[in-house]
Amino acid sequence: MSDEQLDLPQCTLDLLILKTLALEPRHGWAISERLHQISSATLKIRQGSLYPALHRLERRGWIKASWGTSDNNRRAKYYELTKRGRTRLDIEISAWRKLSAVVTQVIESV
Amino acid sequence: MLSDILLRLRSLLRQDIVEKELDDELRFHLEQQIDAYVSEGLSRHEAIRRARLEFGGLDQVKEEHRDARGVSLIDDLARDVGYAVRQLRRSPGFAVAALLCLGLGIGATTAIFSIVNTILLQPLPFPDSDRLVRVIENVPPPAAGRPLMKRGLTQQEYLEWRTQSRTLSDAIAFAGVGQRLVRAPQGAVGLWGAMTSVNTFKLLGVRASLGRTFREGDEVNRDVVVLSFDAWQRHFKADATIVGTALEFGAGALFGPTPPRLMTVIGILPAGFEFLDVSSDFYVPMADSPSRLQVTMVARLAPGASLEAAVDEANVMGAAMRPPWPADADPLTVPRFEVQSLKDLSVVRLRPALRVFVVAVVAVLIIVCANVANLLLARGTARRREISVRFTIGASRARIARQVMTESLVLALCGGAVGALLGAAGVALIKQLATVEAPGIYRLMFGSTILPRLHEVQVDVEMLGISFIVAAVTSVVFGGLPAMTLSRTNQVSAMGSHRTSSGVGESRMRAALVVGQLTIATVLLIGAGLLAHSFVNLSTVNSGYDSSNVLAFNLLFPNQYSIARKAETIDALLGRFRTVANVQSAGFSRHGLLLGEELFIGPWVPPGRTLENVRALRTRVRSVSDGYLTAMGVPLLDGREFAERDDAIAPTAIVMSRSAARQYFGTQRAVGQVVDWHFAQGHIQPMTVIGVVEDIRQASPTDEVFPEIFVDYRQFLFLMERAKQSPQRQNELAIGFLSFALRTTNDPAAAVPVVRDIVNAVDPNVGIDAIAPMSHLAANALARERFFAVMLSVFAGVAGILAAIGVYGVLTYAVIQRTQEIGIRMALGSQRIEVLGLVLRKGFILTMIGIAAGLAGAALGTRVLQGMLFGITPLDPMTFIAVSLMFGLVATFASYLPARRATRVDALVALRNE
Repeated sequence: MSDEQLDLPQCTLDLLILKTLALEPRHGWAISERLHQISSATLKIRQGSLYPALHRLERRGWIKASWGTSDNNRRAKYYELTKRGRTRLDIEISAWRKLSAVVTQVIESV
Repeated sequence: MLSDILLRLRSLLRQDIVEKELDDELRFHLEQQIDAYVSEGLSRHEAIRRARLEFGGLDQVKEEHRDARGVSLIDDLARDVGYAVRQLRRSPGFAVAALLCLGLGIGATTAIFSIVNTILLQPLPFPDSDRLVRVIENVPPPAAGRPLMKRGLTQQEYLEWRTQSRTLSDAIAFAGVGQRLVRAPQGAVGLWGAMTSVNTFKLLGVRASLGRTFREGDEVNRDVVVLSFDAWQRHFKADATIVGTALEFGAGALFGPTPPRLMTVIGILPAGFEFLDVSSDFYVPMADSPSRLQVTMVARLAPGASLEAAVDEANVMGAAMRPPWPADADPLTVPRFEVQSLKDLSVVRLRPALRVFVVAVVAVLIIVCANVANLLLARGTARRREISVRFTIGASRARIARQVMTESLVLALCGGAVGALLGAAGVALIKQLATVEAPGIYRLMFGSTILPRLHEVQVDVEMLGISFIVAAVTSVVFGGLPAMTLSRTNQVSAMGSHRTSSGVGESRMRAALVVGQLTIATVLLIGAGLLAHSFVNLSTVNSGYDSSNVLAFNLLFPNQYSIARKAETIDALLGRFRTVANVQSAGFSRHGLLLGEELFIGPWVPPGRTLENVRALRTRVRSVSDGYLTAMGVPLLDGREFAERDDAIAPTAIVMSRSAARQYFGTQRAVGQVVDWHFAQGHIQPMTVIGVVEDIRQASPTDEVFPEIFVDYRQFLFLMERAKQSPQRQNELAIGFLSFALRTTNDPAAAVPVVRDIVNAVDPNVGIDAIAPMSHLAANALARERFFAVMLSVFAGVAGILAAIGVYGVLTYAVIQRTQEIGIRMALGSQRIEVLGLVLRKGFILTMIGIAAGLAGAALGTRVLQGMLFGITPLDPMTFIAVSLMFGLVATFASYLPARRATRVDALVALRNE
């Protein structure tokens, strides 16, 4: 584990979850594993944040959950993007790009 | 958003499923993580450890998740309440003990305070009632050492007082007028009335519920009458048209032959009107005539005048009106004339008793709180482990606090509900017990109630609230204490060990508290036992007659009837009563049993003794008809009873009671002897003893046995007529209260309509005063004794239960604290029976100390009951032994429960964390 683990603001976590699910439906553990991997072990999502976020997104109608069977034949809850979730992901991504560009610009200029 | 609402609804409605799914989801995550670590090469044990550590506490995750789910406060509350109820159901012993304790405490406090509040604290239901006063004179006692007598004013003095006084305004006078014979729709009835000045109702601010009350001028034209609501309903079927009609009022028993008066009903008083603790059937206006009639003067203190000023003035005015006392009278320690607040007057007798009740109630409430505290501490300590585990797995402090609080509140609420029920039941019980059913003339004997203003008493909601709050605060504080003292730093130690910081001093205090409770309960139980024992003695005492299956009633004859007509009517009535199918025997007596009436006509001189010789002997005389003694079930010991043939012209005969026969003839046989009866001044009649009957206790079972001689009323009337006695005297001595007794083969109450029909058929002008089964009257004659016996028993029962709960709580706590010690003992080979003995011994010692102290206290304290006990001494050994044995058993059972719990301690579990 790296010492440089980052704490994510909530809206960012939502964005990352949506992005992770864009490819295929995943269960909670797979989402956190995936984020762990693609962030080169920088991001470690605490379960205490992950599941509340998942259920929040579910309530907003951006993702939906269904019970399925995992690779090792266990019952697991899979989340997938809804149509609205996909639209939302695009909006979030462009918003993030704008925001990070602005934030970077400000930081560089000072 | 629809999905949002649906999900929220699902969370709320299908909570169990949602929770389960969440649980499954999180468990799956944990297992995946563990698998991942194992595949990275960690040992399974290490994998689990690390996964758990990262996971951050299952409870915490769930909590955060729930917060995210946006489950409302109500949902949380519902969950907490559900959890609390489950927790309580899991330990039913604790739940029952705590609920019983809270319920009894809140209930008893509420019931007693409701009564005390109305009687002592609430003002009388009249406007400005705290300024209403009554003037009385303290009169030196007839014999030295006796209490002072109190006397009212005469009507003449009242009139002078009213005009002279500067400190009093609006004075009124009030006097009872006794019983009057009134024609009502279903026959003549005897009504009890009072005479009162015309401004009385104005002063009291009482308005008629129908028609009007008195007004100025009624004292001159006095043929008006106001009826009480109760009499109007009972005797006139609440007929509104009665207002404005005239009723015929005849004089009552023992009055001279005065013609009846026609009185116009002008109004009906409101329900429940009661003045000077008397509720009369009717009120008539009092004339402003300067007579010697004794009246009660009630007045309002003039604006600005103090009670002290009124007393000073009363002593100046009173001294001028009344002659001074004889010089040899004892000096007074109080002013001769007193001005008393009307309310003080009605409660002065009850105040000490009610104060004792209030103290008792406060004590009960304190004991309840202590017990509840003990129970909750014991429980809280037992749950420290559970709570610290929940802390450790991530439940937040606030969450646990809320949970514990909810549990305490649920307990307090349930206790409050039980308490409210018990309180209402208690008030109803007291009201019922304190009400005496005393028809007609018996009201004078028994009183109509043991407590005044009973109809005003209601469950005091404020007191219910206060005692509930006290109980709730106790529950929350002591329920929360063990959980709250756990800080995060000592969680681990709490998890590892059951030991608490409770010191020796604290446990001593607990023990002392329980011993105190046991002591108080023992004293109360012995007091209640004595009263109950005494009551049983009273109920089973041989009163000399058999009150079962007897119907008793008193008749009223119009006073203008001649003696001859009255006698004829009595004969006619008895003749008709004896033809009724279910009547075995019927008889008449000048005064019935349970009336506080006695008559001495004599002396009686037996053969061989002189007048001087017997002058000091007192013998009651009762004029009866044949059949009366049989109907009353008085056992015949020798000779015969009166018979039909003992009429006016037959040889004069008497029946003696056992003690009268012994008084006059000692061991000789009385039957056949002749006694000279000095029945009137200068008239002597030899009377032959024809029979001896058992002694009768006239007014109450506590009466001394008194010698009594029975005379046939026909012979007595004949003797008095021949001796030229006045009709009034004949009426008073031989006819009197016109008491009848019928012995029936079935329920005597069933004969009431038949009796009414016969009386109406024989003479519709004859009134029935009080008609009731004799057993009913006998029971009501003991109402006061029953009231005190039941009240003290209930109190003692409550105290006993509370003390038992106290023992249970303290021992349970002790067992929990000593779980490890017990575990070690068992690990070292102690048998269960030894562990049982260990705890029982502790309970036994506490119980013995408590009961011993209680016995000592009772030995000193029961002396106050001396005057209330019948047939036993205040130190009645049977009561003392029975109560200690019974209470000892109950307390032992209370310590058996925690002892059994101790034997179930699993040595391994107890020692696991050592």
